[in-house]
Amino acid sequence: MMEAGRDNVLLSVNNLTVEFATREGDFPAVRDINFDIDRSQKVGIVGESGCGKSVTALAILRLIEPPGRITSGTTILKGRDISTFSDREMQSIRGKEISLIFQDPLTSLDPVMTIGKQITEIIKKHQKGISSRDAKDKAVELLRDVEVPNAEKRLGDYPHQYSGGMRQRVMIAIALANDPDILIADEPTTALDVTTQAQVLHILEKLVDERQTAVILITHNFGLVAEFCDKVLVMYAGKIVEQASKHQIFSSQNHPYTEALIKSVPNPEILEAGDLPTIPGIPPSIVDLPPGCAFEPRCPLGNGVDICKQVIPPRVQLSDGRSLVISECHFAQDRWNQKE
Amino acid sequence: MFRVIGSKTISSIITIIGASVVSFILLRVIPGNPARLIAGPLAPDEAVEGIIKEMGLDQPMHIQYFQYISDFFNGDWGFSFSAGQPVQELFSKRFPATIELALFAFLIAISAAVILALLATYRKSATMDRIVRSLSSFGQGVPSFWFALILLMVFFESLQILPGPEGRLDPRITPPPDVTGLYTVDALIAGQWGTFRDASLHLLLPAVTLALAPFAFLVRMLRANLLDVSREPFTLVVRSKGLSQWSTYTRHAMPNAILPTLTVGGLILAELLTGSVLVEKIFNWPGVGSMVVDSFLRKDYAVAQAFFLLSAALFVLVNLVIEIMYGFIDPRTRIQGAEES
Repeated sequence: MMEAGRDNVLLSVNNLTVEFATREGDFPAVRDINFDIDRSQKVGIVGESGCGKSVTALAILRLIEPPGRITSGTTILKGRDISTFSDREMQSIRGKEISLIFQDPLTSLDPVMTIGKQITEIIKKHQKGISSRDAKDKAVELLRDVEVPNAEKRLGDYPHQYSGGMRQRVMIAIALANDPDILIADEPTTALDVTTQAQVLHILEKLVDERQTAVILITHNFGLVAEFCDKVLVMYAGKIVEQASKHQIFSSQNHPYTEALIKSVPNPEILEAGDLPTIPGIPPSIVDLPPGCAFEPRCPLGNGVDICKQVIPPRVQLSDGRSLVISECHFAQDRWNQKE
Repeated sequence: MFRVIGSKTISSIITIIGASVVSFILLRVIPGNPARLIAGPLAPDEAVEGIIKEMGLDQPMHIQYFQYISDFFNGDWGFSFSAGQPVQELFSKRFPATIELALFAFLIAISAAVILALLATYRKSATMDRIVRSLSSFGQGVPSFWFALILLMVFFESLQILPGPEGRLDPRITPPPDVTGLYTVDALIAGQWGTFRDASLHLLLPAVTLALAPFAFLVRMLRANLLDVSREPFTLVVRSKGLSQWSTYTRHAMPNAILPTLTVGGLILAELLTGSVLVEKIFNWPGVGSMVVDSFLRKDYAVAQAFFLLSAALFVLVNLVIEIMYGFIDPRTRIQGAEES
């Protein structure tokens, strides 16, 4: 179905739903989402805070902690259904085939363990029988790869002796230590200042290109997506409301939410003329989802329209022969046809 | 690093000197003439005068103080007239019993606290957590004399599996040859297994009684720390590296959770080492605590004075050791130390 052909699919997430138990009942943080990632593809997951981006990442690694739980869905990694794996089997996937980088480098490292030990820990876990000396050499090499100066000497330092940007480089080194197939980067640069962001992103991009690592980049920054990704998933209130290639997303937005998101990227030329464009209203809480389309109350097109209010929009696949757009909007087909 | 240790040692010594001044003054301001007390109410005034001269009580205060300090370092801690023995001999006879009991109790408190804090948080089971928290409340609330009596009633009187309140050993067993003064260790050194077993069994009930309150406090603290640490993002990072939950706990969560309890642990140990009056009384344990109380009751202040100075020194010393240890264990304080020097 996808233009790339099934052989190339690395990871396939099908009908994934994650629910959180509360006193009032179970509420879905991620609702029935589907997507594929090809080998060495860079996929961006974009959306506002709380739309389920991070939960999706943790659900792929099966690291959802109670009261959250995965209530349905399969995750196929290189032909194996890892959603049926035991926790022990998942341990051999985590950090080896799929790695994770978190948002806040300041709290992502154990404060009382040396940087060196935190890197060799992941090497020793997955490369059984490797000698301490080899693991250490490998750690030095990784620190050099992420351009930490004085790598050998800084191996014995503790996290508080590293700056935020340096710590995020260490996180990248840890995540790439075992040459994973997929790297999930959850807002990897959000906590850093702008110049550091650019440096860290540059290092990340260079290393994943060298290693042909597929990347899931979770972000709310469309600028980052434009720079970094091949494919974009737009999430809203726990659903993937639109997915398409980067080119398609930026050239022909079919979902009103995607359109609104892209319009609210600050643009210096427009900015001088007036206010920063925003999407009015706030995303619905997962404990109080509207019966129809979750975006309906804020939607410039669908607000007040009966079908949008009452019916959850189905997945519509739109193709111009070259690329495919999957959109969950009642107006998707009409808007697509208008453009054709 | 060494400069930090040096400056901490100096401040510790100053504290101990302060304690010695207080203990010296304390004895001078207590009403009653010690010479009269020693000589007895019926002794003639000349005899009392003689004793005053002999003890140096007619000298100026500062000379008396330096005399007191130099005597203390020469092993002359005064004379206990109620026991008819030099105070130093009394202490060297009593201290090993207290040390053995204190170390045993400390070990029990720490290991029980670590294990139960782990049980309370590891599986995230609400029932287990409730049980551990109840145990902690019980331990903090129950008076030790009551708990000791209950233990004796159950294990000595009813079940008859543990010895009664008869001190450190069965009266029929001769103590092992003296090396460290700790019967269990000495028995092991001498290879006397029967004596070791008997000494351990005698230790068990008083040690458990003593351990209860510190355990209750430590388990509460450790549990809270473990919960805090396991909410830290880095534990999720460790899991995402592929480590099992057990390894995440033992290698990352535990060290982070135990660090803040070090200081409290040291103070608890110091407190245990100064002896417990109630527990020693109930179990007829020949330790320091019961001796000090007896000496107070008999107005035998020489013992009290020595005890005061010794326990002050002990607290300061334990604190010093803990602070130095902290520097070695916690990288954050270690670096501050390095930057100072």
